Amino acid sequence: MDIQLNYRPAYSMATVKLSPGEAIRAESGAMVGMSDTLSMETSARTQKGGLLKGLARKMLTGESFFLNLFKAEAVAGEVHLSPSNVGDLVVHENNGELLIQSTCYVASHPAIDIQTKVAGFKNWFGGKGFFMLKAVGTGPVLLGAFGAIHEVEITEDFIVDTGHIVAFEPTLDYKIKRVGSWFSTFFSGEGFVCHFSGRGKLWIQTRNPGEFGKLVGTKLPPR
Amino acid sequence: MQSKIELSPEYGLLEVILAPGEKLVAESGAMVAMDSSVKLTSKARGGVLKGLKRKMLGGESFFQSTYEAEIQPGRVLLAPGAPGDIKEVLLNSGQSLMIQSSCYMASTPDVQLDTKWGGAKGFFSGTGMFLLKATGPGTVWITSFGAMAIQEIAGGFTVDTGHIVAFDETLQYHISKVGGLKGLLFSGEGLVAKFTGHGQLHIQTRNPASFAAFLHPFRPVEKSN
Repeated sequence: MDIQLNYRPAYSMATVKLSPGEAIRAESGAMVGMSDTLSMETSARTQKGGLLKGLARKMLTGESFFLNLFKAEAVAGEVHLSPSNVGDLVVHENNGELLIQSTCYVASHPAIDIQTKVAGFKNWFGGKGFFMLKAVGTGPVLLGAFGAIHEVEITEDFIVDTGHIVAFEPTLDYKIKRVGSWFSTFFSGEGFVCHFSGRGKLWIQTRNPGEFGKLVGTKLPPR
Repeated sequence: MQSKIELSPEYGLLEVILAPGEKLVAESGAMVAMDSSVKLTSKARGGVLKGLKRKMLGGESFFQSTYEAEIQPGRVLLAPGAPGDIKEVLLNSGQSLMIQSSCYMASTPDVQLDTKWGGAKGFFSGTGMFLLKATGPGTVWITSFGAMAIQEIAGGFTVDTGHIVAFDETLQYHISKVGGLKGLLFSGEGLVAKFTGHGQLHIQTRNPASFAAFLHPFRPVEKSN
């Protein structure tokens, strides 16, 4: 499998070349185009999961329900993938576990299990669409951001607005906190932050989808 | 006529310098700025009926603007509506390019523009898959939401309809859904165009419909009173 990223950072698109027998799993809606030599299978997986687990994913994470598996059968082929927002893509070579904000997941190697039950995030609701997925396994994971992606090596406590989190390594401890008092949470719009401690890598996006949605979406006629 | 595309790909801007007597035709909302010596006329190109047909079927604006440098050279700056790129395509006499209607921005006056159905399925699906057929000789400028990638097609290639900008007339296509009914309902991909033959396909790296879907939940909710 060869993944090339083009048109970075603003309009990034990934071109994934698959040899016979290779496959990639992608978030539904990410496909821009693909060779006719590839098969596409829509499934509610994860690996052990089937429909129920797919439903659980939908309910718990707001992440789309179905993933598409693109597979080269007898002949090689390529598939182009892009996120829906304007922004960058990065390939993370996963080895073990990675926690991913659900809207930033674009694609992953089929050997990687995408799980939804992430302790500490499950019942917590701090802003539109902020829920975490856990990628478990070895292979590339494609992450998409709103804006550019900035990598932070955390060695001491660090605070990040939840709307700016893309992904982080599970070696980091995290706590969701309000900024200041309930009063300021309500009025300042800062809302919730994630308080990280320990050591590990964190990827942040330079724009907050919720803030952009509020800026533009609220100026549209009522739905 | 001289032209250059600047600030590409993020915020592509087209600058055209017209020599005296030269004209440029553009989509009516595309003008950013121009020299005051340039004469602007708006009309339903090809007459009102043909214009109406374009409006109804092509989704592109009824009126097109014509910019003309009369006695002295004049400069016109044009930009598309979405953040993204602009590409210049040269068409030989009789050569045609099929353009997703919202991706057409401008052309030289000898280029013929006609509406062509995107197929009955395209019409009913609400995908906005309406096509203009631009036939040379001349130059046409097309635009994308995001960057514009050129896909060389030799054999078969499937594209999400929301990512199509333009393609050579030499390509055949048909609109279909992917992965059976389940694919249509659940995959998020919805409708795709399957291209066959040999030619170039221009694709945009962002999908306007996905972007609109992202904004939808942020719309205010109507008060019930």
